[in-house]
Amino acid sequence: MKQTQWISGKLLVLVIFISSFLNADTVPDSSNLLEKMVDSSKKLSFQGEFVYQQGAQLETLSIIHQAGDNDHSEKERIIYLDGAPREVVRDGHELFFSSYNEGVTRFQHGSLMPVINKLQGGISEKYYDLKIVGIDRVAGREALLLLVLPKDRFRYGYQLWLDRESSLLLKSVMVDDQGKIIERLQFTSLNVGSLSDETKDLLIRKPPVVDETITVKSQPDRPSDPLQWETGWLPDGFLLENRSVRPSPVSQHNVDALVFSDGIASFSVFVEQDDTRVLSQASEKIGALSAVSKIYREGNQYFHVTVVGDIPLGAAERVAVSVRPLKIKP
Amino acid sequence: MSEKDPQISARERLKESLSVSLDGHSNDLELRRVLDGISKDDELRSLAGRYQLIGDAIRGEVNQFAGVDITSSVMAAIEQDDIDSSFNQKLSDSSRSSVNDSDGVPKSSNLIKGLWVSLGKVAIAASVAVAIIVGVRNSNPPADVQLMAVNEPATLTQPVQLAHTGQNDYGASGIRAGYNSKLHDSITPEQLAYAQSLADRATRERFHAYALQHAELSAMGNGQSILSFARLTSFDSQ
Repeated sequence: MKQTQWISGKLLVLVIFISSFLNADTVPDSSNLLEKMVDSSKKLSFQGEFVYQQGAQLETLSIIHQAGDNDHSEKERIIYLDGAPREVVRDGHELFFSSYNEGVTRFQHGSLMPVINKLQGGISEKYYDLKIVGIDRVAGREALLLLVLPKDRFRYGYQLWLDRESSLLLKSVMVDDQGKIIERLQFTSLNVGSLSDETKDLLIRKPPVVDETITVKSQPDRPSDPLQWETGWLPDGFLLENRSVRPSPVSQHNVDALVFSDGIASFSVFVEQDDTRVLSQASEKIGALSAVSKIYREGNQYFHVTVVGDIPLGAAERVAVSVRPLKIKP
Repeated sequence: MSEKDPQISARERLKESLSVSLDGHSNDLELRRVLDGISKDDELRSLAGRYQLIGDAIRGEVNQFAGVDITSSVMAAIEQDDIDSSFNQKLSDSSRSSVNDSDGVPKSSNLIKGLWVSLGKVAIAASVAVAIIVGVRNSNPPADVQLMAVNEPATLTQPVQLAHTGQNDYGASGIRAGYNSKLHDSITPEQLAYAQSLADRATRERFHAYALQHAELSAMGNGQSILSFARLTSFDSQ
């Protein structure tokens, strides 16, 4: 009798010990882990190199990220190390994309883009099965392996390796519903923590010449200036993240740009006036991205709808065909 | 349709083909016959509109575009434009003019404008087929399993060819189906191929431009900017 008590007591201690270990030592529930991943990528300073593979193509890139604080804005620099020189420089509200072939494009935001629907913690769990399946090592760092399996056909599946210490994304494999690998990203080296002064200097070096400036006007939902159109169908769980107006990169008109996200995948819907007046539709898979273009007619008005995002092509097409003008209201 | 009763008038047969063509089962010859017939006959034109609505309703989704009389407007466009004689002329004119007015306009938009102007004449003809098919397919959601089962025959003739293999395979475009239909004898295969390549280039430019916009949007928002921008690498292999 005494012995059984002693054993159960010992078991209890053991259970408490294990659970406290799990709680204290960064094995949170999987949904929290995703939130932390997003959070860390904004709020931590880090520097590293990673490879990115899509299809038969393999590229090396490097990233420097500096977290924002009271005195400094968030800064980031992504450099493509292979092929034609390209880089992305971001400083707060401003983003430069420089390409050796196409020149420098500057995106200028009046203010930080307001997030219309802040993603709720539980949202990913509703549309994905999230499971921590093990501990692995990536780029010399301990990583938690998280399985993210979609519950419907409108999103891809992921295996994510998240840094155990910082929750930063160390490796990501995206698969389609056949289990085929679409893209792979993997860090080969990563340093988390404060950056050296030399590295910080790299972050403030902006392109001297700008070929094209795109001024983005954020539009929080304003009843006085409603959209001329609406999306008739969205995959469940995709919420409007933000909405803006910018000059179209392909025409003389302004284009409405809406971004939708389910917390993991995201796609953008662009709608602009169309001048070609030829009803047509095109869709394509470009690496991990699906792109659909479709022209609509409403009376004498033609609209060009473009959907781009890391969602299956079928979902993107369905979103594109559902876009309709808002004029006629019953 | 295989059995031809002598009692059935030409119009009856036309009606039948019309229904078939709006269902997406018709061949090129039939489609052309229907279009010619529609343009001459008011009653048939309204019938076409009705079939289109019925087709949409059967597919379970009547939308706001369902009532648009696509065929008549496209036929009107054809009548106005003399495609045969002016194609080559306009092509060279427009390519010249698009070079000239490049001041102050972003390069890419200019290119696309030029492409589209030169494309215009052929595209009108070609879009007849596309317009009809797209018009009917308007409410055909390809991704839904249940609807897919119902719509299976329609899905087969969908004008969009999907490039499944990914990055290097540009050129799947909705316009292609229309060009291949040989709707107008006056357009030579060379002209079709040229117009098609122009359309493909315009589409590629568009997707490229908007992929960058999307990357920027998700980087500024909640997305993982490393993934957003890494994905742009697929455009470099073109």
